[in-house]
Amino acid sequence: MNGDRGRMMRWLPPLSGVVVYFFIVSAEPWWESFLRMLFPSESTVIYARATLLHLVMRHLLLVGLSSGAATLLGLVAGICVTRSGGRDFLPIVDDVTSIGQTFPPVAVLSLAAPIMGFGFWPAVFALFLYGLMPVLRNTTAGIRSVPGEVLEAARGMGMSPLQILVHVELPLALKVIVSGVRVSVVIGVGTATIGAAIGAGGLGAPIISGLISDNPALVMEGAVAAALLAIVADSLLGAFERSLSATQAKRKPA
Amino acid sequence: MYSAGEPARERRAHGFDRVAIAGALLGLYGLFGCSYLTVRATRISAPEGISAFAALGFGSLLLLSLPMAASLAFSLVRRRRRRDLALAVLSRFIVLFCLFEVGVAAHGIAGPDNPFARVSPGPGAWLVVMGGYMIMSSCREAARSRRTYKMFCWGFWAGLALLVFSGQLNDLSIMKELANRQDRFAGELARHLLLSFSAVSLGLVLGFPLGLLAFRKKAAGTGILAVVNTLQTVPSLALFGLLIAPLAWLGRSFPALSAAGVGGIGWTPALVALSIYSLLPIVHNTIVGFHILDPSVREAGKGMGMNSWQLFTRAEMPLALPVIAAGVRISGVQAVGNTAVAALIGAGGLGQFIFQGLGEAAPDLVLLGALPTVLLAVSVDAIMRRVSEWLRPGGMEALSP
Repeated sequence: MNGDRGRMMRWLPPLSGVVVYFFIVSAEPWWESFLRMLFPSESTVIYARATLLHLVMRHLLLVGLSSGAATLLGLVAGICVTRSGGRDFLPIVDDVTSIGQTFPPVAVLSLAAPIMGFGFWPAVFALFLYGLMPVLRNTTAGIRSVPGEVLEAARGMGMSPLQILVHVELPLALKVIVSGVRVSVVIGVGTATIGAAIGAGGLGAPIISGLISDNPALVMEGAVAAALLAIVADSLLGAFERSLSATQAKRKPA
Repeated sequence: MYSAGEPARERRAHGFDRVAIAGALLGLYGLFGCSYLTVRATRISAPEGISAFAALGFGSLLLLSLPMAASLAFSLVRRRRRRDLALAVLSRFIVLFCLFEVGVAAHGIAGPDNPFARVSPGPGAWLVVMGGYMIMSSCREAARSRRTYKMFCWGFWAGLALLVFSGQLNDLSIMKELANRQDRFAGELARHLLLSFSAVSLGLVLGFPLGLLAFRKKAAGTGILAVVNTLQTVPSLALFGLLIAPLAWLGRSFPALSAAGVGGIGWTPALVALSIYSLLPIVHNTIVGFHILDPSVREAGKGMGMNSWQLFTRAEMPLALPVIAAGVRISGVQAVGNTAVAALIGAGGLGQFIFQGLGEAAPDLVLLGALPTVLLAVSVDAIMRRVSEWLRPGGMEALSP
């Protein structure tokens, strides 16, 4: 009973945030009258080339594809370099991920354009590369944080390396891995906004077009939607992270 | 099982070095399988690849591929000190010689007779550098303690500096772009540094008391952390955008503020937003830093008759300082990156080149903005790591041999 209640309290705010967010971004007429009230002198107050909902979906697609690929590859690579066969590569992976995380996201994104051209896919690729760093880093850190005695015990019970990975290492590392994914997604949502500068579309498009045409209403439209999207995504993944620590805490005494 | 000493022992057991093998193979593939240079007839025309054989000629190609083959051979033999030192030398030679040859080839193709042609390292040259880096990193652990090895490291950096400053690379596209706007570059770089530095300083001035307050008053702490956390989540471009309307209104309503430069675009929204971003790491690390002091030690100090100011300056601050410095490091790295975005709202800085380059579809100009931004962020990270280390109690002694 208590657990159910706790679970509800954990998931209710972020999930209602998602519902409210989609309700807000689909209410195009409401936006128009609101922005017209704020900026009475502007002739156009709303991005004409796409509806707000469309921009949000494009933004989500951009982040979903890149973060999804980053999570998948980061997980696989992180598992590989913590096996005995791949452990030679662990120091270099540590170095690259820690230097890579100091690279400014804008720089990574803008360097994709000269190499791969303008548009949606170069942005996806740049976001993927950048998003890979936190996932890979946290995967190796999480797996390495599993105490040696625990692995010893698992081996003593006659578990195979694969069983140890699936039943011991990954479950114990899961929370750290998920927090890496959360960082990756939140950075992705933020960086994807700048992606509009290399023609990727998304919520940065009205901001940049508003900045170019000196129209604060368009900037406001994109900025509010992007800011709320990042906050909603972060709180949703935060709830997921907390639900994992709750299950781990429950499992511990058993 | 995963202790620090383990990988080295394991490597010795199976003899050969997989990272070095992979690096050498990657370098050889880059040399023979990819285009070594990218050439464009003008700064905005379509790129064209040139193979290593055509770019370097037979002699240089041999001089570059032999050390790679030698590294490959060395990485297959048993791990020994002397072998690691040989790999350390070979890998550094490969990287420096690769860049040197890029400069030579660039001079041949886009020298003074051909001012409009643009040459940049192609995928092949980058793979050679990456392969060299992998070999370098593979032999680092075992050789790190040796003085000869340290000499190689310094020699490598000196060689790299010599390559850049001697003018050997001056015919590369990015250096041409730099030469064309030398004055503007210095100005934008200074602006970038000033904006990032002011933002982090403001963040420290506001964040430290906030963090202290959050540490002392638990109820306020939850609220403060929640607010700065949410602010950090907001995308930088969105935060810049959100500040435009209110600051423009402020500038319009109060002419004195407008005369001081407050307005919707320019440095004010940039400075405000960048300072807001600097808050979270500093507030968070201040709280963590003050938590280090064990409550029992604090009680003991009180028992010895220390007042709270003495406790603060002699026990709490020395322990907290390196952690706060780590927060400043994270804020600084972030600020350098976000300042580049601020160019979109007219704040200037290196982002100016990035976005102008994207607008003109001129890749060299993008590079002229992006590369220094990356270098700046990496140096801020390295410098603040040193500062943090130095501030650690006993850090001074640890530095002297």
